[in-house]
Amino acid sequence: MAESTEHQLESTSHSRPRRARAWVLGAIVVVLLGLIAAQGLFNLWAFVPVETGSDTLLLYAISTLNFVAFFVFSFILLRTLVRLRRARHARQAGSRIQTRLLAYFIGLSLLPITAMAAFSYLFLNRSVEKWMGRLPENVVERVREQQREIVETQNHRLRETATLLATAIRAKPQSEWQATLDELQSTGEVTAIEIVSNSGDVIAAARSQIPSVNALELARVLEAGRRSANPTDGNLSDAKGFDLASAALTDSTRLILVPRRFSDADANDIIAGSQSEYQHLVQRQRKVRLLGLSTLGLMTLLLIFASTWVAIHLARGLAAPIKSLAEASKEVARGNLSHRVTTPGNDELALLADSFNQMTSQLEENRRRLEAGAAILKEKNQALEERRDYIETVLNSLSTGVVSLDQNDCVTTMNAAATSILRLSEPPPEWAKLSSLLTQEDRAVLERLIKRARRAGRAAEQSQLTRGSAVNSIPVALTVTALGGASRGERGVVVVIDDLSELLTAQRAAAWSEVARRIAHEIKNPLTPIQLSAERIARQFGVRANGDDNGPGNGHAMTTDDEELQRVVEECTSSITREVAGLKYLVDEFSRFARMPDAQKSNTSLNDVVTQAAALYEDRLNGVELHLDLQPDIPLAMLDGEQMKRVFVNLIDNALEALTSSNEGHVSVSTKLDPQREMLVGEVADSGEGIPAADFKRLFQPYFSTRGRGTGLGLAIVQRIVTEHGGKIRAENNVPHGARFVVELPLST
Amino acid sequence: MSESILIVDDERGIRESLTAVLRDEGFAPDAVASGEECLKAIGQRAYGCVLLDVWLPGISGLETLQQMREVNCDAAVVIISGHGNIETAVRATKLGAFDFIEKPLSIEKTVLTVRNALRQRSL
Repeated sequence: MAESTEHQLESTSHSRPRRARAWVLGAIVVVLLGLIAAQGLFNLWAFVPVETGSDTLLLYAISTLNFVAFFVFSFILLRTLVRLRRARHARQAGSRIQTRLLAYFIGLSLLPITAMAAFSYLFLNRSVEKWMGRLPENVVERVREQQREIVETQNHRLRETATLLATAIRAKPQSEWQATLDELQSTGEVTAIEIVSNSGDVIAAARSQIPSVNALELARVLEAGRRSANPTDGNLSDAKGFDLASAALTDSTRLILVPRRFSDADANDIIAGSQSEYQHLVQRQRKVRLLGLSTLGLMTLLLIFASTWVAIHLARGLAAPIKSLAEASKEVARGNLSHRVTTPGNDELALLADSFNQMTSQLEENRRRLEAGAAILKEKNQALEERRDYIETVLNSLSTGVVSLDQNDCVTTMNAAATSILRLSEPPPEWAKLSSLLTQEDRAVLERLIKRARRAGRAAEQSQLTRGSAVNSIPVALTVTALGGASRGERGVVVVIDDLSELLTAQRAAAWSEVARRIAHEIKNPLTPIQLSAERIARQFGVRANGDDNGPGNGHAMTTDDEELQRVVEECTSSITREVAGLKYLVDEFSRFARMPDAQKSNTSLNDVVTQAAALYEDRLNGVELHLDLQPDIPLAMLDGEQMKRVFVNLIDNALEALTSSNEGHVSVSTKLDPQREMLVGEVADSGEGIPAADFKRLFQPYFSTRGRGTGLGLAIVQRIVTEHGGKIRAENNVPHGARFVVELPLST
Repeated sequence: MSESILIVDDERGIRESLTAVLRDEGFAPDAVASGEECLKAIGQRAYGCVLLDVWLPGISGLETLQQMREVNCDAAVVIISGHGNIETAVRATKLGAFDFIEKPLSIEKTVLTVRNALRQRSL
């Protein structure tokens, strides 16, 4: 047991800083156990009787030591148990298994120890009883022997005395026997002396005075002696009370001698001595038994301590690695994969700890890899995100509308241009059905195309998006491309919508420009011979009428008919010339539109341009109020001053024309900076009748005039100039009435 | 001897009316309908002035002018155009055109320009 304790101590000493103390305590336990064992084994008490004071001192010293040891061990054990209980309460790792192991170990060790203690107790009791039982028997034996010896000696002496007296009396004559007996009796040594016949008759007798108490006893003794020469009654020779000796005097007579009565004093002394010795022994027996029992108890306790201790150490030895494993599991569960279990020794638990460490290191490695992978993934994700942002930015900056749909025709992405082309007030929520965003006609067009694209991979068409009403209708180029992947019919698609209105406007403007050029050419060419011919006719007639000798009718006076003819010719030729001039003006207007030169841009103040344009109308307002509202600090912009002046001249002209019928009202021209969009905004608004909804679309087309006069090129020229400056013009109805033309010009171009 | 003038225009009406007007004014005008014919004509006869339309079938008026310069034709060239713009005028001037008159032509303007051109050439 001590060895295993040591082994356990050794096995746990690596992790226990207080191993020295444990060693010392273990050693003390071993020594004490050894002492007790030695006492028991060699029966030291037999050799070292505890009679002297120093022995008692030794006994007390050992008892005290045992007591102290008992307390110390109790304290340590208690402390260990309390600590364990606390650990259990705190639900510390390993405390449960430690408790359970402790309980098992203690239970297991208590069983044999208790059995041994019980057995030892019984054995000790028996031994002490046996040992103690022998002591008074010896004493009694000795006393009895001594008494027997004494009695025998006395009897022997009594018989010798009787024989001697008989011999002496025999020499005397029978008559003197009485006197002799009396003489003998008078010595005082004899209680009674008689001479009796064999038949028991008393021949002579002498008796000393005795207390009446003993008289009866004496008579009985004498009677016994008279009856038989050799009385068998043991009481007559037991040296107690009255003894009797008999000796033959003659053939027919006997001498009976009863000596002085024996007191019991000598034998009593011996017995009393023996009894006191016995009492002493009994007292000692209690002490020894007490000592033995306490030693046994202490030994049992020490054994229990030792076994408990061993149990604690064993449990701790088993529980410590389990505890550290449990703690390690907790750490690992908490995410600390760098935690390692350190277990001394090389048993299975150490193997388990090793496996655990390997596992955690593998986990750590895996986690490291995972983290590295996650970092790469994150980077890639970020790159993807950036790419997505980039694509989204690109998509949103496109003027082409892009809408992507999933296989259920739900919108997955829609760029800003698409939102504006489809005239949605805000981007639709993700997964909105495309059909819910469109009018029925537009839906039909798109759905047909999408179906075709899903079948053929791609479908394109130029169409009109009505966007709710005919007024909002715009020409668009629709291209639907099916996304790769899923099977046919379940593919997502990308719808690309190009707003062709500007392109068509430009194309129309270019066509008109071409038409204008051709018209200019085709009209002006025949105008030349007409003009020349008319002038020539007029000239020839004038020459002839003025008597020019070059003409026909030379030398003839002009008749009335001639004068009439000349007047008609002059009227006609001047009419022709005038109409040719009118046609030329008209054609020139066309030409101006057709051969609009490229803008010569320079840093120009829009306010100056507007002021100059307005100045041209100062004396032509006819009661109309022209109000300028110019933001004073707007920056210079790259503009062709002359062309831009023409824009505002045309717009003001247009506005004034709208008010001509009423000859009152007002026109306001304003400029301002839109810093957010970096745009200069010029507005010309009138308080006229406004623009009918149906006219908005055709407003900027060449040869469209609401006035029924003019060339119809004014607004077309305005739009062309504004467009060439990278800007935009739009018309809207003024509030409360009238029209408003808004020119937006970028600062940068 | 009256000054010979070459009229180059694809419009028959213009050719005829101009020829008549210039003949009235005492010039000796010829008329052709294209640049190619013009180049051929100047090779056959020395003209004092050439009235050259810009828009011509085949080689254009300005190209014809350039080629005339290349063959060292010293006739004073007056460009006539129905849709004259500044660029054309500048180019024509750079190629040595004397003047630039716009259709529809008037007798007064045309005769004045032709006389100026001829006077200029004779200096």
